[in-house]
Amino acid sequence: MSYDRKSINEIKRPMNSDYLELENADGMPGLVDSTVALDFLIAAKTGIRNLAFALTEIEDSEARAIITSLLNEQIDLHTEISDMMMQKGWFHPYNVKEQFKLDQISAKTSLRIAGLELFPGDTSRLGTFATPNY
Amino acid sequence: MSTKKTLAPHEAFELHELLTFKNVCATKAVTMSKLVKDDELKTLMERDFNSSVEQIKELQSLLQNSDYAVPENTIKKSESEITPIH
Repeated sequence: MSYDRKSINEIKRPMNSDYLELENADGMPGLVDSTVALDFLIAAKTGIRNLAFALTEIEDSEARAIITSLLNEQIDLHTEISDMMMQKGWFHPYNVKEQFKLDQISAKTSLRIAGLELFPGDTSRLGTFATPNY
Repeated sequence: MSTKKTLAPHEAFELHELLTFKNVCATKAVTMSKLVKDDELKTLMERDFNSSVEQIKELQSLLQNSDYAVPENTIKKSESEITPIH
């Protein structure tokens, strides 16, 4: 697939509201993957915070030992996700300009998705083409 | 009096919160990994799901030390089984 060769900024652009049109699906896998990865990263980060907070509240030594090991695993997972996202160009922690540009495009995309009629009653595209029998 | 020290209520609540969070994460990881096309991300998410299963089991066994714990044998087998994905 070509989408992983392109940088995400080439793929990410304000989307066309006609999502039924195949042409507008170009770059969709890249869009989905980067969004899912970001969600994954945020969940890992929240997990680290939750575990650290729990450690400050728990005294029981067995529980502390287990939570400490979970915390270490979670930190490793977070490192892996952020490294992968940086390598794929989905995340630019050292290039704030690039990151802000990406955020702006993502914000626009989210607003466009919010405005879409995602589950229309009729998804037929008849009428778009010459259909002599109708 | 039992020799095993039970968890204080606030410790049990904390573990309960961690468990609910892990449950959501595991469910999300396995569902979202099906939507992903990128192989690297997919394997990372599947690996996370498998380790989440282990972590959930650890938290479950910890919660057995709490006064609020429901004895394991009262939960139906089919409700407590999680099978890892390969």
